[in-house]
Amino acid sequence: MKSSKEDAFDLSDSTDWLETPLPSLSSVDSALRCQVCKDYYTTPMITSCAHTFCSLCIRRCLNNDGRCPACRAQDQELKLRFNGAMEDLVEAFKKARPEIWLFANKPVEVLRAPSQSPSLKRSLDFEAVTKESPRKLRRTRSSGRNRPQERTVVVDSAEDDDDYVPEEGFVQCPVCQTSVKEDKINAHLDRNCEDQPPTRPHDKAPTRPHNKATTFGATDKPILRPERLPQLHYSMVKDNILRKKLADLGLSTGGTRQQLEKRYTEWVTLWNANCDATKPKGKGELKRELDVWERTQGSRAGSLKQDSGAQIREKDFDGQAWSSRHDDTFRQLIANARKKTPVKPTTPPEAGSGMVDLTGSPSPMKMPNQPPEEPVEAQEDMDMAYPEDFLPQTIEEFPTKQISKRRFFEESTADRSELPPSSQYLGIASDITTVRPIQP
Amino acid sequence: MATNFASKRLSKELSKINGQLPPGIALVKAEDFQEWLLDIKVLDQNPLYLNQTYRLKFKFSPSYPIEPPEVTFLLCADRPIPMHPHIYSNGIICLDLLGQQGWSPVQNVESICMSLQSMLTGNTKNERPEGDQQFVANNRRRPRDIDFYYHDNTV
Repeated sequence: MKSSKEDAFDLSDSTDWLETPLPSLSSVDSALRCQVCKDYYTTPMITSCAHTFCSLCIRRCLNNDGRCPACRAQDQELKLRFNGAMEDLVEAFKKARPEIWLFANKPVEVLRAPSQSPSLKRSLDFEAVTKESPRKLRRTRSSGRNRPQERTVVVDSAEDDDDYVPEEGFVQCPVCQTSVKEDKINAHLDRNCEDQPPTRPHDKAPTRPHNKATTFGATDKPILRPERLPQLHYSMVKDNILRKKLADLGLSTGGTRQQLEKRYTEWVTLWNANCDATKPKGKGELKRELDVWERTQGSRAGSLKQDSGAQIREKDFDGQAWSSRHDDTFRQLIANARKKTPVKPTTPPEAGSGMVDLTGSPSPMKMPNQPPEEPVEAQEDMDMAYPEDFLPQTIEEFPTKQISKRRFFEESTADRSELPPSSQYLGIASDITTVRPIQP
Repeated sequence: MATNFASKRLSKELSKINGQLPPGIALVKAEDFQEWLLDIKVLDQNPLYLNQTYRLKFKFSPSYPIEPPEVTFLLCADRPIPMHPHIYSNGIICLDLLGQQGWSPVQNVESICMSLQSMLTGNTKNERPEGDQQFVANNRRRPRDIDFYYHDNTV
């Protein structure tokens, strides 16, 4: 992951401005950045609680816990709306940033020089700024829409109706005032100007009907607006159907169920975020992004949940209600466990002693110095695997417990006599004894 | 080489941290985007933590900041584990901000450090959490897999 440091080297940050003579720009810069990725907004979307994030960031967050990262209010992907003004602002600022940066980092004497008629200097700067910024804005907006004409930028169209000269090959539509290719104007009018991109295309973006792929940049190459994909309720989808869905999308169908779900979710997230974008990317590029995701996250996808039940639980899981509802069951389990505990520590030695009694084999055991804990498991294994005379090892070390041992032994031998040695009962008994060394 | 969003975001945080940090917080080690070490101090006169520095270990998953980082206090020669009713003696911190429920992607390394600072500052009890011994002896899980039950809203 270290190498990723190199290609992520666009590390501009809002705090960069603090060391310049323009520290107040820091808050401007920071207001144009997504709180999740700390980068300038990419396709900013506004939530129902009126917070703005990158489309991809907020969709990932909502997929994860369904809450707004800023205020923790619940929200849904469907309710996100494109924040076009913010995108324009970001684009404008990003373009202006290098210039402002240069200006802010000019040698100090130029800025401070008191003798060089400061008023003149200021007026010059002011002029430069006023000249520059509106033009910038226009260029940004129009290029953002991928449209060659400046027409959409002008807010008050009536003002310059007279002096507006359409570009060559274009005519102005008499109805909607936008410029249309001359040979398309009749078709355009026939369709009630509907093929024309709206002045603010984003207002409609999220609600655009799926079946009607609107064309952008109608004048040159039309960009097909992709349809949004729905997220799946994975609990209702079987493996093979999920695989088929992935295959239909042209995605890999390998990996565990977990990985399949994660891959599908991420694809839908990438895809839908791309649908919000002013200039949607091609499917190939999205696939590369998914591939990057798969390589950096996918390996984790498998290991993520296998170890913890916590991941599966709902976010709003009410532990208290659950525990009170199942209190009886828990109590009973505890009681059952308690019933068994006195038996536990005694099982192995007493199994040994029992064997001795039964078989009348030579008197046991002679390793008084042996630590009591350690041999237990091994012994239990032997109990299962070897004939009786291997067993008697630690009897003397538990003299005070002999009685209870014996009682249990009698029960267990009784069971043994009734059941074949491979019976479940033996299995359980061995489980109990192997648990024992952990007990304090 | 693929850059995932965690590395991107962490590199931004790192460049910011390298620039400046709030008082009482210092970066110790950040050589990759998986594990960072930071030192924090409590700045006021709280006698429990006076003149002490504590080391924090951050572990980031590739899903950071969608998922919270794993933050624990690290015991070193001159870096004790602070005494607090929500900090176990093995350094595991019970703070809802660091769990799936309380975490929000707008949090960052700096804000976590500041939250922990203020969590220590506000504490007056010189004690470990209930069942500390048992927890420390038996816990083999990673902090993110533990289901803490957050009951104390005064923190």
